[in-house]
Amino acid sequence: MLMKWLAAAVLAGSAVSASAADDAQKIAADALHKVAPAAKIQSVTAAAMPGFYVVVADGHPVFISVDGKYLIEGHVYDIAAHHDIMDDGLTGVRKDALAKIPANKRLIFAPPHPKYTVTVFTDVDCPYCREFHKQIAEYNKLGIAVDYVLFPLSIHPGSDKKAVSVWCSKDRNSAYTEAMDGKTLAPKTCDNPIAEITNVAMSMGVNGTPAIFANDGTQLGGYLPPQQLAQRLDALAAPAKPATAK
Amino acid sequence: MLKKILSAIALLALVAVVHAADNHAVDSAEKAVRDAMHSLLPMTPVDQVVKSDLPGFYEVVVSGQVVYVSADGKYLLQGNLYNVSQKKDLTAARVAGIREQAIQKLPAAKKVIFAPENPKHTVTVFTDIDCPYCRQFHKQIVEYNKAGIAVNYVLFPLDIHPGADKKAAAVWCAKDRNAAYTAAMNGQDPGNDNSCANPVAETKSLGLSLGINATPTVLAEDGTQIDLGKATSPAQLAAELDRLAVAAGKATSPVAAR
Repeated sequence: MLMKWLAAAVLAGSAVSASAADDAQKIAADALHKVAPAAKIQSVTAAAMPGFYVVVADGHPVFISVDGKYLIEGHVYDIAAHHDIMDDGLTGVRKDALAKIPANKRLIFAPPHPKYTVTVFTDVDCPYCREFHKQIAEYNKLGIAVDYVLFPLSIHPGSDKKAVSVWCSKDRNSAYTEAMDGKTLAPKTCDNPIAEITNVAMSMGVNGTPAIFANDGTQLGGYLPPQQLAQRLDALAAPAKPATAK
Repeated sequence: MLKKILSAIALLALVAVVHAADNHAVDSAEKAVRDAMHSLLPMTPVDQVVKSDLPGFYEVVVSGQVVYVSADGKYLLQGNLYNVSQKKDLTAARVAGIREQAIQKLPAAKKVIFAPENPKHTVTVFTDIDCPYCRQFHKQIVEYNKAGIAVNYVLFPLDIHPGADKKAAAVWCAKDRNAAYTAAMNGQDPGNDNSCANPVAETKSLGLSLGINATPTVLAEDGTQIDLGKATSPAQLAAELDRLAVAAGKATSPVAAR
């Protein structure tokens, strides 16, 4: 399993290497490179579980013991909180990656005074992306600005061309809406950010659509209906509750 | 996600063979670990709790799956634990070890055995008569045997194939079990004579207790699960078994070849 994603990771490339690693970070990086020489490390941070680092490489988090002897791939649960802390390791990396996509590389559907903004990785031929977009007015009404980024999946042959046609239309937003309604767009080509967004998605470990992120890097879903998305955003904005027993 | 995984474990465990809890002295850390598992899975018997290679963690075996719980009962690791310097997947090795023991304990009299004269390798195959890939596999049984591979079938009818359990019992109860198995795999109805004493219920719960949930599941002698997608022909399976045998030899050899 580990070897599988690492092999895939070599192909993905274009990740940021760790800067100014102190000794501890070097231990973690050396340990990962022993198992996966070509892995491109994006971040090394202290894990919520004492004695471990979270190392994110090629959009994929692993835990490494601070002595560099053990590596954990999979899930690490905080039992009392019923929460996977492995995924937390990705949040910082995802925040930085999202911040690198400027507004002019997104398709923005925003209400006048948005309370929240989400970034949604979307594929024109993905059924749940279409379901999501059918309700775009509801999301907006709930104060949620939706920034779409075009991320055509290779499992949908031809969706990359559709994405380019959307991007190259004069009125991108209405072209997107038409495509999501199943209408065939006139094929168009022009400079577009799709390859760049694909790289960002891989560096964030996004491999499906829709994938919904808050600005702080937290993944809110897969597909979520308007009310549920608003609830998730409210919960995220509320001060964190301590995970102690009642 | 946690709930999903844990409920899958719980389901398996409900039908799994329940091992009596061991009665060794339980130190406080082990108690914390057991309490943590109980808080997550109140209905599920924990098969084993032992100290893990990972300092500060216990290895917990539940329904043939291995998870790790911190000695303070706060954290649960589910996935694969690697020893970095050895580049070894400790979890996969442990799961294989559990399966190796279990298949060794299962006597030949509870398997349907197709073996060549001097087999070089033996595989254990959990099989279901109504599973298309199991039939595909058995079509090549002569070639597997020719390649030096003995095939020990363990009857493991899946719930998604209603009636497959009765067919398995009927095959077992036939006078010539091997011929009846081959005939059934060729699509013949093995009939209704399934009233003899047979191990199907036992082998089925054994498979479930080992975390096996699909057929065909092919295990090498050391318990390693073989990916048939990568070993589609008998020659490829033989090569994969050769490779595993060599790798096992290397791991125990003090001289690292390179």
